[in-house]
Amino acid sequence: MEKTQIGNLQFIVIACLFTIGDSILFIPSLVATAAGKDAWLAGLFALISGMGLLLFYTVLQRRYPRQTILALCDQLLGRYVGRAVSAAFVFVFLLLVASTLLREVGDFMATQILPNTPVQFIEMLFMLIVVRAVRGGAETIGRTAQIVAPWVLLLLVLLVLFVIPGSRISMIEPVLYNGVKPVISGGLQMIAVPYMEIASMMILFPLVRNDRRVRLNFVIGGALGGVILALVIFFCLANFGALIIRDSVYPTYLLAKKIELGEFLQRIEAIMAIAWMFSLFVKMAVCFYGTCVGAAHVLGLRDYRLFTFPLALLLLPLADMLAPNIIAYFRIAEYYPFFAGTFAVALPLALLAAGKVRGGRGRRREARVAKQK
Amino acid sequence: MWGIVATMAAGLVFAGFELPRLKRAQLHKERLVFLAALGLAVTLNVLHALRIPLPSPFKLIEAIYGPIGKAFFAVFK
Repeated sequence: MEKTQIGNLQFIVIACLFTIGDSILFIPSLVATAAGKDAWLAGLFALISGMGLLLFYTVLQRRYPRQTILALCDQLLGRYVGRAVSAAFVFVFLLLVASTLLREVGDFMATQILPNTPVQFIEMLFMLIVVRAVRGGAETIGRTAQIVAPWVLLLLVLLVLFVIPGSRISMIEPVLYNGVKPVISGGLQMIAVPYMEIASMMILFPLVRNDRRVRLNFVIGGALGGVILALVIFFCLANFGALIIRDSVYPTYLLAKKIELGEFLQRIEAIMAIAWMFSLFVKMAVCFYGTCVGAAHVLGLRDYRLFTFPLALLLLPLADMLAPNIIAYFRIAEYYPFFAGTFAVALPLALLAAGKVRGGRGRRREARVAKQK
Repeated sequence: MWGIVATMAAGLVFAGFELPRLKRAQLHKERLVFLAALGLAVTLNVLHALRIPLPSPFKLIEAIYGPIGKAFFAVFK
């Protein structure tokens, strides 16, 4: 593992931007499909249970600080099983998340903002910047996140403020007309995207400078992003109602188009879209960094940078192969939580169980680390 | 057609960029892995450019997790 380090503030903003990530673009539509008018309740439900998940991800870090999840696989599951499991985590989970992100960037830009540009060029340019960031290492990603985070947060707060005048509370009434079931269903489908994919940040945990504050900072960052997501879902519903949100693919962009302050401040949706490009970039950079570092770890190589260009080239057709169109693409929502949960929840649980069975080893290591301090 | 040419060119540029660096650092195993990964990426790109139907990873996920997901979310309908 390399010796770059991420500061506390940088870690918070990475967690925040990762949570906002691609979720902000399509989550209102995804949740409204399942929960209808109560999608904002589903958003709250997902926010609360998501915080629980974030706490859960840091349990392994508490027990084994200074170890990546991949090294832990090797240590706790044995050489061969551990290698196979970490290979699955890298080449199935991280690579797939990265390709879905690329697909969403391409689709969003090509359908909403640059309709005459071939989608491959948009994806290529985006990948080029991500490759540059990943070659720079985790520290570069952290510093970039620190620079762009104020702008993203400022623009998103402005978005929420500007759409308050147009929202009507009658749009979300009656509350809980169909009972609690759709709320839970929508919430569970939502959890998978921001709060389970964030498990890829476990790769970054050992790189944080102050490993005692990882848990707190992770939850602060995740909560900040999660609150923004919940607010955006609420205002999407309160402005347009459940039917329009359900039928649109990028409801947040619809919301940004609605911003109009007097006659002079309008049509600033492209500026809002820039904020989402930043948050998408941070999520993509973390996932792609994890993929490259993980690939080097699985194959036992000393340099991870050699994977940046080939894997970036690999992602381009992979993103296009996922689904023929965006409607088919979102059909995955009903089983995606189980796929993501396999790697985000079941894998750390299995590692914890293996650590318990193997007994003293983990605790002895912890004692050694404590003694060194 | 242009896709194939562009991919080949990109592959050559990446190899020209990366291989000398790895050679200087005396990372020999890494050079082989790099060539294998680049070969895989270029092959996939060329197949995709030739419009040969490739299986979607989502289909595989659907095959494995689809029944669980459908049964689970049917409870909430």
